[in-house]
Amino acid sequence: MKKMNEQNPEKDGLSVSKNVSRRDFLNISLKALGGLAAIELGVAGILFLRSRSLAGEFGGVMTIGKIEGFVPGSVVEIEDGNFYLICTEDGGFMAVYRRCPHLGCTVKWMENEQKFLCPCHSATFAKTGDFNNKLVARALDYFPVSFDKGMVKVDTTAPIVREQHLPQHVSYPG
Amino acid sequence: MSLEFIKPLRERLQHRDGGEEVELPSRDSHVRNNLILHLHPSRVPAQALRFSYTWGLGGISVVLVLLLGLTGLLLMFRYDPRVEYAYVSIQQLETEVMFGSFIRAVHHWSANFLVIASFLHLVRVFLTGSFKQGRSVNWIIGLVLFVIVLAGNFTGYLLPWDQLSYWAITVSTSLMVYIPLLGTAVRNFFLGGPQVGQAALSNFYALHVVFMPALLLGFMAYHLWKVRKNCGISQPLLKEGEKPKFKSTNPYLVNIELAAVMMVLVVVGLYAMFNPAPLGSIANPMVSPNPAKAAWYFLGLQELLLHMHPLAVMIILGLAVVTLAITPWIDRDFRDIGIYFRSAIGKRAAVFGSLLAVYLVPLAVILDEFWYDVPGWLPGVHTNITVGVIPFLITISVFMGIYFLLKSGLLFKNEKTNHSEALLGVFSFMMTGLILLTIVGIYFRGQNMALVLPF
Repeated sequence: MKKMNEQNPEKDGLSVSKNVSRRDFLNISLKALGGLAAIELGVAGILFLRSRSLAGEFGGVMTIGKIEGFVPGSVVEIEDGNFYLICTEDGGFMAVYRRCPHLGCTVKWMENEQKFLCPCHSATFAKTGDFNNKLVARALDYFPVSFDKGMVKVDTTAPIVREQHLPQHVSYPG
Repeated sequence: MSLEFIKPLRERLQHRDGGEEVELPSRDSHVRNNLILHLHPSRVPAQALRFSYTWGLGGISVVLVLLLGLTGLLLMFRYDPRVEYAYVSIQQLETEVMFGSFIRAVHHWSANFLVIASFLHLVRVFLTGSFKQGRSVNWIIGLVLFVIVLAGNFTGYLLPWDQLSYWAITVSTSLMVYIPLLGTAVRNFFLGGPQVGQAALSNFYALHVVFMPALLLGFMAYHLWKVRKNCGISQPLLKEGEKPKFKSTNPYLVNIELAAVMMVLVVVGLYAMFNPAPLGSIANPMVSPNPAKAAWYFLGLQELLLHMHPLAVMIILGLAVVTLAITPWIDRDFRDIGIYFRSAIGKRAAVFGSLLAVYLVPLAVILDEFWYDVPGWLPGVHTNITVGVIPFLITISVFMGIYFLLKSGLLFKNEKTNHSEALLGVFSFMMTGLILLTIVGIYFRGQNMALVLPF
């Protein structure tokens, strides 16, 4: 093919350039445009299929109740908010996400044993949300707690991931 | 070719020399034969017809797939893939719809039997070395088909929207999060959000009723075509000067296949009549059942998860799948193709592998439950090492150890296992181990996933 082109550049439809014939040009353009179209379709497909419920999965800022309403040392399950509100002995508040960081089961508060238990793989967590089981390498996630006019508020927009429990995860009123 | 068969019956009756009347094949039988010959060659080697060679497992799987398609279509007319109605529509199917419970049970049990049949088919093909001699591509297609079968089962698992399905899918998709870097994105992509909800149900429904069946049919057609291209199923090499014996496909092969179809229909039908498909209480995101178990065919993996970091489990699983996929290139000696366990010594290697698994796997499970406590012994070391790297290395070294032990010839007096036979020992260990872990997961795990006795 190439040889023929060299011999008779005009007659077999050779373009101005000596290196790229018209056929080559069309072939290359077709491949490039086809590749581009494939990428566009792929991206469009992924955008189309991308999660549709990321926004608004959690409830935003929730008002839970009066500060005095919670007994120090108690753990209350807030079902609508997907979390447990922990009132520490010294009057601090912490909201831990009830989803086990191991495989996503709902952890249960065991009042008698004073710990959280995940029924799926029997992972256990201390009252602070700290892990005390070999399988799970991090503490329960938590939501920030704030106080406004004597009310406890929890921002449930997105759970905060933490390696282990630290004192600064507990919020104190006032 | 003669066109005798389209003549009316009267004219098709021919008189033999002796005056006896003989009927030529009818048009019906001609069409029938033609259909059969689209799938099969006109003659098959007598060797290939031995039922105790294939156990009909591939054919049984095909019948189950067809049964699944038929019952699945019927179920689609009655099922409603919205979270508010999904569970109710299944309840109606179970209580109000004529034969609803039966159709659902047939679909459910066919799917479960398909997992078993295709697993046994895979094992059979490995044991007879049928991935050798130009069959490597079809071996990989077979592995892909097995994954599609599992994925089809998995996506169907969520649809009843009961506690069983909700938590099984929650647990399994949470596993995806442990994929490095992409984990959370992949999980959110499949679930359509961070939790199992309407988006997840829609996704799984679309995947289950269209995507998986289409993929399955496509690969299955290719799988069957490839068997034809490989000149039929595998069989032992002929000795020098030996001539292959052939039998006609119709009736010899066709009769076996018809018998297998009948047997599958009877077994599945009877089983479904006496065992309705399970349905728990409606899905409740607030309460995980105790214990929360995955579908039974994933319980072997869930059992591993009790002992190791999820990433270690995933790497082991990935390595196992990749090793299986490249087996035709690792084991290229095709002289033993078509012979169960390769040879007498290969059989002993396989029995050794299986027995070792019977001994080691339960022992490891019990030791880990009651005694083994690496994180406690190595305080201060990160759990990624104590429950991740260490158990991973132990597992891999057991596999390697079996191979080299068999290869060294220390085990059997005067006889050395070759490469192919040693691999067979490792395979037997792996498969027996997987089955044992699954049994432990199904029967020996109770509340809080603690070890319990089932009786």
